[in-house]
Amino acid sequence: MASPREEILDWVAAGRLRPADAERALAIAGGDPGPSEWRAFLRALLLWGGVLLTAVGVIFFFAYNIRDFSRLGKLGVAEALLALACAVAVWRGPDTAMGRAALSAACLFTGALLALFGQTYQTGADSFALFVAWAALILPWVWLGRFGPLWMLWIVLVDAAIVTYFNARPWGLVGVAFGMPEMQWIGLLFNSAALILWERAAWLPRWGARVLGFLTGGMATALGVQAFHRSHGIDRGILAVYLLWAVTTYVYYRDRRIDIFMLSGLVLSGIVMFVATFGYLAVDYMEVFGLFVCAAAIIGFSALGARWIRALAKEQRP
Amino acid sequence: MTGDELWSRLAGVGLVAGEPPPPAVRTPWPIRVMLGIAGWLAALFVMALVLMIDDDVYRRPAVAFAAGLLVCGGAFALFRSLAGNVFAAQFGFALSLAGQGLFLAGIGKLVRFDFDTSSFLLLALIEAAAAAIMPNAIHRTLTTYACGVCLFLATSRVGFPAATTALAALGVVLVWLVIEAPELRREVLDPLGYGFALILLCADGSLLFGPDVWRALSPRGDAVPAYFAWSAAIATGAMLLFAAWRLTPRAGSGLLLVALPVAIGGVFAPGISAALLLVILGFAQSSRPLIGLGLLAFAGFLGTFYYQLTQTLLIKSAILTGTGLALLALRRLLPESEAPRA
Repeated sequence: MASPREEILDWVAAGRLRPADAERALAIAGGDPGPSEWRAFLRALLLWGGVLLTAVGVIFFFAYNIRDFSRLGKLGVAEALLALACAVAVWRGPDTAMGRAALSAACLFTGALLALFGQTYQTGADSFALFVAWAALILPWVWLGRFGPLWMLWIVLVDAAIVTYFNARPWGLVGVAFGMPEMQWIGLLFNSAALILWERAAWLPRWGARVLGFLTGGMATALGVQAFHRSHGIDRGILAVYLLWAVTTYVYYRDRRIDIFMLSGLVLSGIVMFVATFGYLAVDYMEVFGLFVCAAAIIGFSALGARWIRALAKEQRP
Repeated sequence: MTGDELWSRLAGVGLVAGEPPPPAVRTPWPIRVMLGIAGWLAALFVMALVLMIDDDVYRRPAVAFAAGLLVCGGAFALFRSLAGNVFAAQFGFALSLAGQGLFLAGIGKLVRFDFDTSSFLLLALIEAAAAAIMPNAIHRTLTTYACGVCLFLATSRVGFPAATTALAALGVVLVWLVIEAPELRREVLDPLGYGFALILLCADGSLLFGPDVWRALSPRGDAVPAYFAWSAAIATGAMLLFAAWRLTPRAGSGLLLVALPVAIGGVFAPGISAALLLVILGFAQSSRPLIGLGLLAFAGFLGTFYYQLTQTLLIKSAILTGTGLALLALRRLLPESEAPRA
């Protein structure tokens, strides 16, 4: 459903409400955040901004590796910070904002402590082992915290472990998209499982499902594109997995829970697959006409897709 | 409150009259992003199509220039005459991008494009004109962003890329906060605003271009003068403080408590000021995509800041920890029950 603000802007755009009256209308509708909403927002901003900046600052501090600081001193400070964060989390409880912030800081400090341990004793463990240990150690806290961002941190750590295990080139998402198929397979499996579990847990926020949807969609599409560009012809196995992902996404987000973000991603994935398969062949065999067909098809598919999703969104309105 | 209830309430105080209008057709942002990427892909095929039909077109500048103008004109006519038709809009979008490609290829040859400041400034002007003229929201966001990238390249060539960051921060504040024209909000201001936000995040090092890119583009070679980099962060911080001050009557003085330490810390950790600016403007405008963009920029900046070579990790640590502890301490000054000053 549209927010009061959107409704009012629509009426102004349609000429049904004078622009000069829009501000008064917004005040009547409560379309803009009021003093109490601002206060809650600012308190959250101060808390989370403060905790994250401090925690990241602490990680940078240990990464600097001051030589004059003894081993015992460094480990002692890291452990003291971790213990302090845990104590605050227990004191305030994981259901309060302060408790959650402290628990999140504890999870970040755990990573700093592990990195410091590896740096101090030269354990020889690579990044993959660090991420695995980090994810394993904080899992009980993440479980008990019942907090969406903490679960997302845990998932990101596991993803980082997968990427570093396969030694992906440091090109961020581009590196993942064009990385080794084995990495994409494992990443797709893990993130799909995480997405299914995320969707089953009603208390988790929607944005997390969308982040996971973006990751699984990206990996499925990257794999799907590769299915048509194998030296030995079309890889039917990969194609089947892509189709399974596409059909499942369509059925779930069309019938069970309408989600515009996921469906837009599905349409875009279909267009990319079209370009990578038919587009490739069309340009090869039909040349000028093939290019024309491709351009027209992309425009047609995207416009049709947009119309379809907009109609679904309209259906969803009460 | 449903739309009909809101309408009745406004009718009760005489702001509107008659029956409530039917619900407007909206295009949520995920669909806009999908249409934008697809339109860009289609434009590549259209440009390749032109090249295949007449592979000489890009070598004859006058022809490419005229053909580009003609194609852009066609796109404009499509946008104007079939407004609201998603097929026409998407076709017009792809056509316009392809037309711009032709036009730029033509004009590039005519003015002897040389990857220098004046050439990039010319491109920025053309993209700005496209953003102003073409009546399509997705097109406006994309061309505003393209204009910013060209401006960034132009200012980088003279060693002053901070000017782009400052202009982007100014644009963000003007569009999302200062200009009050609700009739233009949906189709003009919001699309321009997202374009400015993307430029700001790319130019200040949060997402794409950072000091290392500045250094690479700088004609002076090895190092960008520190004050040039700082001036971008100072300009963004100033815009953050200005936005906080403007919003104080609505948000209370607590907003300045958040903005002040971040603006100071942001001078040394460029990225946090821009991210917070977007988050607070997004909250003030009830724009979730803008808030999301700000949060993404915050996380992105913390990730890239580690690798930036401008300061040692110890100094970076002091800046981040100091700013973080200041925010936590100031939170105590903002109790939950206190009413904001009007």
